[in-house]
Amino acid sequence: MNLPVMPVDGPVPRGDADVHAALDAALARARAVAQYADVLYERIYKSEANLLASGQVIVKPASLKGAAQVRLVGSEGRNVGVRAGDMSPSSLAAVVDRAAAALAEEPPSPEFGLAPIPNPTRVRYGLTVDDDPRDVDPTRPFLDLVAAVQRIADAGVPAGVRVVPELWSWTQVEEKWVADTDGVFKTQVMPVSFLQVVFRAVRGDAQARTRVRFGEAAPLSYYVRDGALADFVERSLCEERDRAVQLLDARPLTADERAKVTHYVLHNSSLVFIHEGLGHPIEADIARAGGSAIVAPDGSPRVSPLGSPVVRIVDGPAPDEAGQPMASRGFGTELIDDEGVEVKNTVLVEGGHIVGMMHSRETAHRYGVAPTGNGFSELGDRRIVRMRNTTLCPAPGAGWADSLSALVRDVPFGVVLHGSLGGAVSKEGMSSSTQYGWLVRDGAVTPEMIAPGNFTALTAGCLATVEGFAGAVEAHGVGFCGKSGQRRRVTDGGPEYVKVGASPSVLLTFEG
Amino acid sequence: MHTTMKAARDLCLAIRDGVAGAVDDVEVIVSCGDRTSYGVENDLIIPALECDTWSVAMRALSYGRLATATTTSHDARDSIAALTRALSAAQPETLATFASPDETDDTRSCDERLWALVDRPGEVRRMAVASRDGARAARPGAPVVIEADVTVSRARRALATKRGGPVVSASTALSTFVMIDGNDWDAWSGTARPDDAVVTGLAGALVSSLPAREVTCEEFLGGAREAAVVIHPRLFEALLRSLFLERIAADRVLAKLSSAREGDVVAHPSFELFDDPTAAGSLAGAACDDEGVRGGCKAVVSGGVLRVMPSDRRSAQMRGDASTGNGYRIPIMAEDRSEAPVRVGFGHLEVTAGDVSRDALVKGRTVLITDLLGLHSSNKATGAFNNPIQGGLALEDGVPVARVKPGAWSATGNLHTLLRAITGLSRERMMTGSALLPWVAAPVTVA
Repeated sequence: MNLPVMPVDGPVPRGDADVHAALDAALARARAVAQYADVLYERIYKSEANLLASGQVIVKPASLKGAAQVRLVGSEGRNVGVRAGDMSPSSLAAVVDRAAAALAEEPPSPEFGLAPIPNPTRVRYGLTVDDDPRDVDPTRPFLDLVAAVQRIADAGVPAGVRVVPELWSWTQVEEKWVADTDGVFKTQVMPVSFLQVVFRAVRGDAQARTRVRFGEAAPLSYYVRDGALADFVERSLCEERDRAVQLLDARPLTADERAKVTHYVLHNSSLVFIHEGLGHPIEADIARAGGSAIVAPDGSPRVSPLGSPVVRIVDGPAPDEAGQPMASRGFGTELIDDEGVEVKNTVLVEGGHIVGMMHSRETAHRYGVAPTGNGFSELGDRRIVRMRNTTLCPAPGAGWADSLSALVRDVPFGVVLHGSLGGAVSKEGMSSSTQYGWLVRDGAVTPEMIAPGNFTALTAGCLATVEGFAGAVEAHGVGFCGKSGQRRRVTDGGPEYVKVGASPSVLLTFEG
Repeated sequence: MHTTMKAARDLCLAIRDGVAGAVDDVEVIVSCGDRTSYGVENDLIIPALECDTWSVAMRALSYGRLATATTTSHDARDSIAALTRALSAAQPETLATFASPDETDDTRSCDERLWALVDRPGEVRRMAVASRDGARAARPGAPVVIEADVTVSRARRALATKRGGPVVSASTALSTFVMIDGNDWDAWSGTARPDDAVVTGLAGALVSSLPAREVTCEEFLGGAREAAVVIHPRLFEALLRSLFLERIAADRVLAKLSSAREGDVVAHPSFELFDDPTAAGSLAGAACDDEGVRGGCKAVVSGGVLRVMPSDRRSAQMRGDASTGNGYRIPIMAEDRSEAPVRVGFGHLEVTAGDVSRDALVKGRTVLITDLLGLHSSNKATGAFNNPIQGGLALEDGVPVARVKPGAWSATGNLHTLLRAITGLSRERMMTGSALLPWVAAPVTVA
C-alpha cells in the first residue's frame, strides 16, 4: 500500500501566488458592496481511464477543471452566491458585480448568518501527493489496470458463460483556496483515486452483473503498482467475477420465504441505508427545511430513541477497524470543508439517541453551534451540508459477535445481503438495491444464492431492531452523493456485518 | 447573444486549428453557460447564480489511435496543451475519422425573452416566491412543507472537426420544480418562456390536486397484487431512457449485452416510439449530436416492432451503416458530460397518443405512479425494476381518491414485459421538456 502522509503544514497548491492575488482583488471589490464576502476556488487535475463494454479503451491523462464561488453578505442578512468558471481578475470582477446586482434584489433575511471559521490563522492543509499525475504519466498504470481486469474477466469462467468487464478509474489532485474579507486564507491539496469495475456475466439471453468500487485519499499506486494490482483489489475482483457468474443461477426469495424472514444481515457493502436513511435526515439544512422524519426543524429529535442502545453513527474521517477516526483516510475525506472549516469527527447517534447534526457555517449559525466542517460544493456550486464518511461505529461491548457464523447462530431464517448499486432517500425512508444475498437457515449461512433485490427502510424505525455486529469497522461503501444536483464523493460503512431484526420498518423485495 | 456565440465559435476554432496540424483529425466541443436559480425551502428563498462557465471536450485521431481531453478553461492554450498531452496516451480506435458537419448557426431553441431573464434575478426570485405562496394559499390554515426551484439558463455551444463545422448554437431553458411534504412533486421545463402562471401556479395547482386522504396498499388494494397501473409520462420517459435504451442501442448490441435485432417484437402493437435528436424547442434536441452528426426524426418502434437501432458513429461504422445521430457524451454516475465517453442515447422522444382519455385508462381500484425512488439502481441488464413508489395517487375508475402513503408502496416489474403488455395509451400527452408522451396503462405488481 502506498498511502500519502499528512504533513503538519499542508503542501502549497501550484500557482498559489497568482490565485491569492486574484482572490484578494475580488475580495477588495466585494468590500465595496457587501459587509462580508468569501470566495472559494476549486481546481482539479484529473487523469482517467475507461474500459467500455465494447472493449474500447480510453485513457485521458489530462482533464483540467476549475470554478469559483463568490458569496456576498449584505445588511440584515441579505446574501447571494455566484459560481464563476474563471479565475481571471476581470472575470472575477464581473462575478462580484453580478452578485452585487442580485444582492440588491434580496429582501432582509435577519436569521441568516455565518458561524465563525475556527482556527482562522492556519493556512495550509492537505496530503503529500505521490505519483502526481501532473508530473508522472499515468497511462502505464491505467493500461495495467485494464489488462488485469480483462485477465480476471477471462479466467476461470464456466463453459457457455462470457464475462464482460467494464472499468472506470481516475486519479486526481484537488486543490482549493478559501478566503474571506475577515482575512482568512486557507488552502488544501488532496490526492484522490477511484476504481470501479462492473462484471456482466452473459449466458444466452440471461445476464447478471456485479459492481465493485474502491476509493481513497491516495494516489493511483494504492491500487496498481509495478504492473500488478494490490492484493486486496485482485482478491475482490476475482470474488465479484465469480459472484456475477453465480448470479445467473440465483433465485429470489419466495413470498412465503419473505414472510418467514426473522433477520437481515447486512454486509458493509450494503450499508448505503446508513447514508440515505440516517445521514441525510441528520443534515441540518434538511432538518431546517422540514424534510427530515427524525429531526424537527428546531433541531430536536422527532424520534427518541432512534435505535437500539448499541447504535452509534459518526460522520467524518474514515474509521479504523476499531471505529476510531483516521484523519487522512477515506474516499469522502477532506481536512477542511469548502468554507475553510476544519473537518470534525461528528457523532450523530450515540446509544441509540440523536446527539448531533452535520452543519455548514450557515446552519451552525442558525442553530447556535460550532460548524462541523460539512459545508461543501461541487466545483464552485453553492455550499450546502454534505456528508463525508458516514459510518455505523458501535462502541465495543454488547452486541459484538466474533464472526458471521456466531452472529447468525440464533437466526432461524434470514438472508445475508451484499452490495448495492445505489440508493435514494425520501422524507420517510430510503431505498437501496442489493446485489446478491445468501440464505441463512437454522443458524447457519447456506450456499443458496439470492438474486438482486431492493432493501427499503422507514427511517424512524429501521434502527430499532439492530441486534448485533461482527467484523472490523470499515468505510466500505464508496459512492457519489447527488444531493441538490451536486455530486460529492462519500463513503458509508460500519462493521463487516450488521444484524437487523425483521420489522415493519424494513422490507426486502425482489425484481420481477 | 451573437457576441457570446462568437466567443464560443472563436475558442472552438482556435483549439481546432491549434491542434489540427499535428493529428489526422480533431473534434472540439466548446460550451459556455449562465444560470439564475432560486430555490425555495419553506420561508427561505435561496439564490444560486452561475456566470460564464466554460467546458471544452476534445478528441483527436492520430495513426489510428484516439486521444481525449477536457478542460474548463476559455484560454485555448490550456486546451491545446491538454489534448497534446493526451496524444501520448492515445489508444487504438475503430473510428477512422470524425464527422464533417456543415457550418451552421442554430438558434431554434433560443428564446430571447428567456435569454434576457437570466440577467434579471429579481424577476426570477419573484416567480419562486409566487410559486411558494400559491402552495400556501391552496392549503390555508394547514402547514405545508415546500421545496421548490425556478431556474433560468442560457448556453452557447460550438462544435468543429478538422473536416467541418463549426456548428454553433444558442439555447435557453427554464425549469421549475416543486415538492410538497417531501413526497408529491411536479415540474415543468422547456426552452421558451411560458406564461408566468405556468411557473407561479405550479405549486398551488399541485397542492390543490392532492386528495387529503392517504392510503397503504393493504388498505386500498387488500395487499400485494399485479394491477394495471397508470404510469406518469415523466416516469415513462425515465424508464425508456434508462432501461429500454439498454436493450436497443447499437453499442449495447455490438457489445453483446443485448440480443435485440431490427424486426423484434418489443412492445404492444399500439406502441410507436419516435426519436428526434434535432427537435426544435426540446431540451433533448440540438443541431447535431455530440459527434457533429445531424440525425433526423425516426420511428424506433412502430407496430410494436423494433425498426431502427439508434447508433453513434463508432457503432454505425461497425455495423456498416450511417450513424443515426445518437452519439452523446452521456455521463454515468459522477462523470461530467464533457468528460464522458460517447455513448448511444436518445434525443427528443415521442410516443403516439392513444384513443382513450387518461381518466378512462383503467377501471376499478389501482394507482397512478408518478415516480419510483432510486430508479437509477434498476437492473439495466434485464429491464427489471423494483422500487418504492414516490408520489402517486390511488385511483377509483380513473379518479384520484387518495395519495399513496409515503414509504408504504413499492412497484415491481420489467419494462420489456410491461411494454408488450400495455393495456392503454392516453389521448392526452405531456411535454416533459425532452419528450412528448402519453400516460400509459400496463400491469405492474404493487405491494
